Amino acid sequence: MHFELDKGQKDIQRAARDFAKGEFDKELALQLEKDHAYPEKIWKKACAEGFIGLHFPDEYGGSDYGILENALVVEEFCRRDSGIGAALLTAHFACEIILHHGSPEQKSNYLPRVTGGECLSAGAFTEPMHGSDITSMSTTAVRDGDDWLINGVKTFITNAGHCGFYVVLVQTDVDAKHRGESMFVVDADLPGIEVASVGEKMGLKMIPTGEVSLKNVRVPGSALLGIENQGFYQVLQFFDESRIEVAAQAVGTAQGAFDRALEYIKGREQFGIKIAKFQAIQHKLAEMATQLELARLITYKAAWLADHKKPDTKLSAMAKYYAGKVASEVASESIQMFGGYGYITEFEVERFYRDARITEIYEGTREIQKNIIAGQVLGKLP
Amino acid sequence: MRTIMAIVEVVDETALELAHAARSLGEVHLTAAVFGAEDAGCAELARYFDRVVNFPLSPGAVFDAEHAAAALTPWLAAEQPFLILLSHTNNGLDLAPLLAARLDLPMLADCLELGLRDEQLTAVRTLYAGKVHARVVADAKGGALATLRPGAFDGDEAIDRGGRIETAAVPPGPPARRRLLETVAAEAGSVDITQAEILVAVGRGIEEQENLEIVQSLAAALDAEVACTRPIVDKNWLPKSRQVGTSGQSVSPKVYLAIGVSGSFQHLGGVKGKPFLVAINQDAAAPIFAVADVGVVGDLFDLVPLLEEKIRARKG
Amino acid sequence: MNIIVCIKRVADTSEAEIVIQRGGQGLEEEDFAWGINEWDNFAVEAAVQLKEQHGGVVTAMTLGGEDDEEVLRRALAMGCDEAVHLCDEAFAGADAWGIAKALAAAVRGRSYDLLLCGAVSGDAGGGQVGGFLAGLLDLPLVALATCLEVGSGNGGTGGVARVRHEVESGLERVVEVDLPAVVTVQTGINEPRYVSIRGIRKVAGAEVQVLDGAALGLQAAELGSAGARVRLEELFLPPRGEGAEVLEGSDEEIVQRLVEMLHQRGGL
Ligand SMILES: Cc1cc2nc3c(=O)[nH]c(=O)nc-3n(C[C@H](O)[C@H](O)[C@H](O)COP(=O)(O)OP(=O)(O)OC[C@H]3O[C@@H](n4cnc5c(N)ncnc54)[C@H](O)[C@@H]3O)c2cc1C
Ligand SMILES: Cc1cc2nc3c(=O)[nH]c(=O)nc-3n(C[C@H](O)[C@H](O)[C@H](O)COP(=O)(O)OP(=O)(O)OC[C@H]3O[C@@H](n4cnc5c(N)ncnc54)[C@H](O)[C@@H]3O)c2cc1C
Ligand SMILES: Cc1cc2nc3c(=O)[nH]c(=O)nc-3n(C[C@H](O)[C@H](O)[C@H](O)COP(=O)(O)OP(=O)(O)OC[C@H]3O[C@@H](n4cnc5c(N)ncnc54)[C@H](O)[C@@H]3O)c2cc1C
Repeated sequence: MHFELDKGQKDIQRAARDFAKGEFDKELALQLEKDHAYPEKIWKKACAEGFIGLHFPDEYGGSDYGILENALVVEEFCRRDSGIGAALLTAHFACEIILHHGSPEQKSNYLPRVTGGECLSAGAFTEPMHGSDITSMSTTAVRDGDDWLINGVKTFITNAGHCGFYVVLVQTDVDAKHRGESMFVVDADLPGIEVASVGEKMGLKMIPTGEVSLKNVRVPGSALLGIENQGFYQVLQFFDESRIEVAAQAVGTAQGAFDRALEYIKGREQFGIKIAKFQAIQHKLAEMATQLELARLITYKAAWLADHKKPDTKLSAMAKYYAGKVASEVASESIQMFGGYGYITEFEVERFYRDARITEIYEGTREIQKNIIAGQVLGKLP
Repeated sequence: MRTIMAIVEVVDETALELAHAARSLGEVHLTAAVFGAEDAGCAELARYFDRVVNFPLSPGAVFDAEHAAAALTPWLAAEQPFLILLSHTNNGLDLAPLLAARLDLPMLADCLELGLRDEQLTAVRTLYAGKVHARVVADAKGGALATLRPGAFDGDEAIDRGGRIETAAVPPGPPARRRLLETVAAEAGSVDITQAEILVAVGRGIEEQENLEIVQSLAAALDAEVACTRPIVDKNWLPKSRQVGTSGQSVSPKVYLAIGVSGSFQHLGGVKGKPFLVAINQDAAAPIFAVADVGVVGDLFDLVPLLEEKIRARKG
Repeated sequence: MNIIVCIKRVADTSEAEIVIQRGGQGLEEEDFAWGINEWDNFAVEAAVQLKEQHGGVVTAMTLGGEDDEEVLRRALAMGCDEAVHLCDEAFAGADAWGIAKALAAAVRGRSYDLLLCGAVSGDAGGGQVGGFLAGLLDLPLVALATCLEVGSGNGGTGGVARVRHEVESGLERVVEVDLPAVVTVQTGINEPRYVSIRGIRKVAGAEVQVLDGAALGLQAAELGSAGARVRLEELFLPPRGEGAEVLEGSDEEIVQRLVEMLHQRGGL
């Protein structure tokens, strides 16, 4: 057993760090947040340098790396800037489903556009009435000759209105609950698609999040993604991977807040001494550092397992649950260390906190992660 | 008496600094080797040096390090001085290490102080762009070479030493392996920062090109011109004509506001005439604070807009 | 066009607090961010661009400890073809002369048209290694290049380069230099590319050649601190001297004071 990244992985980590250092900028981030604007230029550059979808195969514009390498990039990006980092990691959201279940045509049509920076992707699972519970969908797809007609409303959809296509989870057999769910890749410019705002968000302000309504959206048979009525299982499999990415986002965000707090306490003086000399601050720091270490370890382990063909539902859920919790707590404590300044946007840690909170909500709330973990630990109760 | 040779590119202040540093080492016999100097130049040097050796240049030629190294190597090998001194200028960077290697001498580069301890040459030099100083020592029994940071030493006082002036015989060497094609003057900019009374100089602390706006806007409020450090020009964020320093412009404003500038000697080398120097930098250990009149330790992104606001308010 | 580019891993201390170790022989390095010397990054880019135009092989070379391999891998990912790591515990404490001697030993016997160095290093910054190499290898030198073009040149058998370089008072000169030659590269000569993921991927399996003192044919007395002509006596923090009057207080107060001072002393 050994606990060190290999040389290539360290190279990737450094490359991501260099890129983030060169391209991300605090003032820019604050402005983008204010304007609710996507970091378009940085995203295009990140694509050009191969950071987006590096875990996709070569032929689709990736670099054949694994989930762990992707996690390292996500972590470095979010560490430098939680907002820009999140915007970049969601640029390829749900593409892994195409990668694993798509037809050769779907893969070569959609994936290179995402890795090449032509468009963003989106995954539309959540509905107004179906959030944590996706065991049945109100959105339906009904056959019409060779085509399908899709109807329904999806909400909280990342990149809605700014993406090239949606991966949509629908009911194809309305009587079969989760055994009747299927997936489609739906081009974003098709007639019948409308996007509305979900309102002002707490964080992730650079990323568009919208409600997508689909009215008689006609897609060809070739838009079916994977196997009919297997959509639910395809999503679960996807979450096993994507939760690792969210965990990496959480680790990076926590580390970014921690870095800033650490620098601050070394400089700030009260009662005539540096506040880093107060034991109360030191203990807080020790806890944060320990939490961070644990969150990183479990995230890397979950990624390593997935890359070694042993994807582990329980560990992915644990990683996301724990790293998400750590991100919220570490960012919150970082604000505390900054005192009043922590509450001021300029000092960044409040933004890291706002961006951290989502990691406990999307791709399964922390309660849902615990349900999964408990389910896996208990097995089938008699 | 120990002999010291100063290699002088042009007759200017740096030559006097070399002389001063050499004299500070005790009783020495001091020679200046100079290239293509006019009679007046030689005479001027003879006031400070005990001997002036002029290496003639062919008509139209200018000082060239490759040529100088070829001419000096055999001459210095024959003269065997105790110490060879050069200025740590661009030409010095081109010539000194080459000379040290050819003569197989220990070299102390970019010295701020120079001293002698028995047969050892000691020097203070900087590390990490001036954030750390190091005292280093070289065994000078068989001779040594040192380059001195321009401006770090006082210039020597003229006491007219009535130095002997000679012309060196440069034996024809092999054909030069490096040939001058042309000299390019710095491109003239639309503004001339050398004429400005107030300069707002911006450095790498500004982080992004877009952020230059706050500095430009401050400069406008002050009726000042914007100047900058080299990295800003390297990134093409501002034209070369606004760069202050040894490879840019020399300026002598009344007020110099350095914002996000660390204060490298190459940058400060272009700031002449002792302006009222204000530095804004978030690193309390930045070398700029050692030379500034007034320092503000803080984030320029907070301070610059605030400063502009207050200045505009005061102007009414 | 075969090129050897000498690179060095240095600490970026611009955001770090400097703490000198007891004894004054080193610095506390925990806070340091390490990376390729700024000037060397430009040199690598210049080498790779020349190769992209003219073909040939670019070899990156560094002398340093095990961790320093990182800059070689980086250079490979940027497009260098080969990497040579001069690594030997006996190199510890080497001065610029010792470094240049070892580099020269490694360079001898290789076929190259250009030997590129950074103009100076960001840590010790003596700007000597390139010139020493030229002296040791008996090659022409051009320091502080801001533009570099080559006509021909095919592995050390001649050709010329046109180099624009900085001289005094903001002037630059264009020279023609016979190849092989040593050129030291100034910042701003190009826009160094990022290390891309695809670049890293391409060199994932690349081998770095490791050479120790024996492999270079160097004697123990020439290596490291034993062979150093310049010894470090002591590191110390620069004396503050008179220093600046540092304004204290809230931003509001500070700026107000500053405005007053600018009026009084700056004559606004
Ligand atoms: C910024 C943002 C971006 C998003 N992006 C996307 C996207 O791109 N695509 C997409 O499909 N969705 C997206 N979502 C939706 C997100 O995945 C859901 O919000 C999340 O799954 C929770 O669903 P819900 O909001 O309906 O909450 P609910 O399911 O209504 O949950 C409410 C509360 O009840 C708890 N709860 C629910 N069930 C249980 C249970 N069985 N046991 C214990 N507690 C339970 C939850 O943990 C939570 O605390 C996004 C959300 C946000 C805020
Ligand atoms: C031969 C040669 C010639 C050269 N000629 C020149 C020349 O003519 N002119 C020149 O300028 N340089 C020249 N240089 C380069 C010089 O060595 C330095 O690298 C350069 O001057 C550094 O520029 P800087 O101060 O902008 O950047 P840095 O040294 O990187 O300093 C940036 C500073 O900004 C501060 N900072 C960062 N963020 C903030 C913030 N938010 N708020 C406040 N402060 C902040 C940092 O603390 C740091 O001190 C030359 C170098 C060589 C080798
Ligand atoms: C903390 C500290 C302690 C030191 N202690 C000593 C000491 O005790 N004695 C002493 O003499 N020096 C000491 N040095 C200086 C150190 O050994 C220098 O790095 C060395 O002298 C090289 O010279 P330079 O950095 O001036 O290189 P420069 O001549 O400024 O570098 C120019 C170029 O040379 C090339 N180059 C330089 N070094 C290497 C390398 N290792 N591998 C490949 N290419 C290279 C690069 O292209 C570089 O851009 C110390 C430095 C530090 C930071």
